[in-house]
Amino acid sequence: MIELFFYYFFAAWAVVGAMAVVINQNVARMAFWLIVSLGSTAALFFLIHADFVGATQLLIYVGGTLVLLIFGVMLTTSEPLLRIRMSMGDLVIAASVGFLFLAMINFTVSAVNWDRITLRQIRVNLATVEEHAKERIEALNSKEDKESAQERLAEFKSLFEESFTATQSDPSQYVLANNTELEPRDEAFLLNFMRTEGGLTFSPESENGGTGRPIGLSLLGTRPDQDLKRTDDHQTISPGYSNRARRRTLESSETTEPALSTGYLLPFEIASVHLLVVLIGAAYLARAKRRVEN
Amino acid sequence: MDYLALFAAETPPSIAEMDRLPICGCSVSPTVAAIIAALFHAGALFAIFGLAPFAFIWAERKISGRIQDRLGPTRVGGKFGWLQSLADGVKLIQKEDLVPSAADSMLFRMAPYLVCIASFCAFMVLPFSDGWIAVSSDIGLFVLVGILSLEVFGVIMAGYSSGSKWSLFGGMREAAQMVSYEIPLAICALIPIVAVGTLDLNRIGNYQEGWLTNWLIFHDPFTFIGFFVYFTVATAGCKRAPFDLAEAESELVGGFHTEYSGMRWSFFFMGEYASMFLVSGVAAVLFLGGWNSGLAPLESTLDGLVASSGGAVSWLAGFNPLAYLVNVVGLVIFLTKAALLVIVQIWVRWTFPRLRIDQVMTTCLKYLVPISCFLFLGATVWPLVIGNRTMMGFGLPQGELAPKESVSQVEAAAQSATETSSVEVAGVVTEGAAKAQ
Repeated sequence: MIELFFYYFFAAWAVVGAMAVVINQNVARMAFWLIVSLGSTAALFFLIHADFVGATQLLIYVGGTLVLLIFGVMLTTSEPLLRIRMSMGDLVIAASVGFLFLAMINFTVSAVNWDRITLRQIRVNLATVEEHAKERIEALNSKEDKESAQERLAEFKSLFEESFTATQSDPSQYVLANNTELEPRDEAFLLNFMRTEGGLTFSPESENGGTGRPIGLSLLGTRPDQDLKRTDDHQTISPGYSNRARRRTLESSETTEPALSTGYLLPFEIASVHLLVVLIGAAYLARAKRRVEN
Repeated sequence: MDYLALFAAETPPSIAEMDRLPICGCSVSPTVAAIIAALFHAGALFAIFGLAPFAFIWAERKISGRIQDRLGPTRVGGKFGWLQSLADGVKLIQKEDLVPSAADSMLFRMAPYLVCIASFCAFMVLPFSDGWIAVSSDIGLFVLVGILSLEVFGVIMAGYSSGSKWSLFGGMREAAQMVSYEIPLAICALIPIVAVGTLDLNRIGNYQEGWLTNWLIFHDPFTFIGFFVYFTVATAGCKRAPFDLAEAESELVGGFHTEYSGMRWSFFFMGEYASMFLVSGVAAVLFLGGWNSGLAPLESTLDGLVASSGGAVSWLAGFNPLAYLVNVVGLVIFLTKAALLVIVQIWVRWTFPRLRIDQVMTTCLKYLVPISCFLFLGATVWPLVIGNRTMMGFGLPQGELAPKESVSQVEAAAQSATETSSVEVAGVVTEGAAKAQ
């Protein structure tokens, strides 16, 4: 509930900041709004417990790149550049590049099968979960409450045993049993139950920055959540990438799948190239004006 | 996105049925409990954030007075003029909120808040006692450095938007200085990390339990020198004398805050004193044992108290009075250490003359950066050459993590869950140690 509120709050500020960067004509104010936008994005990362990505966002983009931009553009130029006026052609080119970029991000986001990412592999101490649940049931006052809580526990246990099997190497680590497709609702129920009872020690969304590593590694091009132990326990659903690609490989029955999942390296690199273009553009603008003055 | 909604829809019934927590007689759902806890944390942090400048501005005036053979404030609040900061605050609130006509008014108004928010946010990841940390993160130090890097924006904004050349020059100098000093600051902060093997500030603090020799400053010669380099760099990062070029009165009038007055001006100062306290607190955690007294018998007595304290009280979930008191002792020790470091900063300010701007940059880029790089290198090589020993020959060896895991008061209810995970962590560590040998 509260997470949802903060999600919308920071998402709104990220969007408002980004819009204001585009709309404003004053370079210094643009920089300010860029801080707001990037800071809110970092807050979104913190919200999903991806502390590392959030802190990196702050340190590199806000504390590093933005300072560089401000130094490079704002403080080395004289008055005229503080307001940017664009010709119609510039506007069209910029808009088309921007929309292409947006389209790319959109494709990337929609290509990921988000439901599958959450509960593939978990490490949970079932005894702790059960113990906790029982303790809590003991502590309940009314009889009806106790009964319904008992029911929930029983439901959890049966559902868990149905859908998960323990790995041989580590008895506290479970993977989704073969051919099980969890309903999103059941998945949420399982995850939520284990979270409230506190036996869950690892999942992709475990507490304290546990997602930092999977997300960070995905940005570097590997998908530990999909590639680790994928041969023994379950078939790989292809790399974060589209359902359509998967269908095609299934039809051709020849496995053309890459040996390892590819993660989000390409979009990430494209974004960084985009940023480089922005930096070069900024430097060019700063220099060009000075030459005119001479 | 529907997944998120499902999750939200799924949460309430389970809470309503099973998870009600007792707080002061009434049972409260975890969501409400979390909100109460968050408000409590925020309030406590804000108290520290507000009271630290309050105390240190008074201390600064008093100490500078004494150093210059004056009395300093003597009247407000009876003895020693200890309410002087309050009087200052009241005066500043009353002042007119001026914006120069040449200024970019929006940025001009925003800049002080940016400075304040940045240094306030950094307190979120700073532990004040064992487990007393608002946001526990296993990369706490990294988050802290990331947040600290935001502070420079307020300064740049203030300098630019004032529409005055003094402010612009002051802001530029300040930005150049802060950005350059961030590099050795981060490297110096890494030196003790190499010895401990974790970025979690709470665990770094717990690692230094026991005798004084367990403090990371005494871990090896590199951490020893590293502490002094860190302290120098941190002083410069807080734009304190002798590195306070931004407000070199003789050349720049007031630097980036020349045009500010009243509350907005005081926000800059709150930010400055709060970040002085912050970097001193980080130094205390990283090098000086954090909330540990350095006396092993005392520590073991306190641990014994916690162990024998029994469970939480019935009327407040997760509240264990004895463990709480032990943590308060830790808090007092931590605050004392941090306050002493701040007083050293004040002492330095009134003792040394100000450096020139080129000297400031030279000190950083030509001396402090190479020195900190060398120290970092040394700290990484130390265990390879000397082996698994510390500088004094005793104390905790390299890479062995704290015996006492971080269990905060709030998390005490879910303690057994944490224990299982900590056992796992310990297992991994011993495995690693065995491999290393």
